[in-house]
Amino acid sequence: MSLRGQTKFVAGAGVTERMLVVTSGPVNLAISATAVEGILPPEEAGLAGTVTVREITYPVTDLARRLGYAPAASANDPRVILCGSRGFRRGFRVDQVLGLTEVEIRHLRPLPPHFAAEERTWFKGYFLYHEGIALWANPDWLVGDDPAGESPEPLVGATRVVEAHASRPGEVIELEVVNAERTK
Amino acid sequence: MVFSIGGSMLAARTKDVAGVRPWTGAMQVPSRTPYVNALVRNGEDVLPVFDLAGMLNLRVQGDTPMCLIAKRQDGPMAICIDATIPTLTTVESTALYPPAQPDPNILWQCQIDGIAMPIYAFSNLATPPVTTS
Repeated sequence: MSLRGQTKFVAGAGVTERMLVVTSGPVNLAISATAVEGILPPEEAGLAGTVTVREITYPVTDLARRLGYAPAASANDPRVILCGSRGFRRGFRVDQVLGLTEVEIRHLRPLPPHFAAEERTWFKGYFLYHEGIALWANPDWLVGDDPAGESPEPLVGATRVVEAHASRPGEVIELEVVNAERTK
Repeated sequence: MVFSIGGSMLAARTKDVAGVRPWTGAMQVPSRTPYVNALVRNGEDVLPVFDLAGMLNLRVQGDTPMCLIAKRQDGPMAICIDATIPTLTTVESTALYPPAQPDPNILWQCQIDGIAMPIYAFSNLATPPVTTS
């Protein structure tokens, strides 16, 4: 159910990683496409703390809170992204979905050694994204236990939707290639 | 090199400074490493940001802050400093004296233009000032 079903493939001369890039507060976060199981407009996710899609229930929290920041008071184009890895699943409210991107593996950089604490397990690295930078999230950390206390709400009253939409009707999430040749 | 943060005058050895350029903004990185919490990009170059102002409980002044590139032993890092352009000053070694309070981040102190100024040890800048009770 992940986006486009695969993450690593050869584009031109280099192996690439396909990622969904979102913004949450001050951070551009890239999530491997294999870990993204759906994108919902916020109205379909409802106000409950969980959302159920295809019989799978996702506890939903603000991505900003997961990253340690206060959620933005308002966002121009918010979405709820549904993520899963190794049997764990979570949904996250994000300020905006920037797009689906392919990055050549050789352009993925590790965090500088100055970052010496747990953040090295939170992020697999970063890459240059447009005029800025995107952090590459470790999906196991992203959807794993949250010791900060973002415990899921009870399943009672969970919003149920029939199908996860990639975007609002008529919208298209563009696939772009960062520092890589486009596939034929 | 003499520079300022929050209006406070600070110094560093020129050999510990790789350059100074305009501050172009940084992207925060969730982090539990003290004072290392952002990345700054300049073209293809990306540097970690050390929040020296935060460590000193100061706030950077000026609308157009500068980026001081400090040479730490594990690689260069960016420090946001006041908009005031840093200056180069020669200090005789005999004019250097230990800081009044032990601080692993400060090599020596000196007097420049009558102002007591700490000379920071950028090569191993990492820990908050030692407080004595």
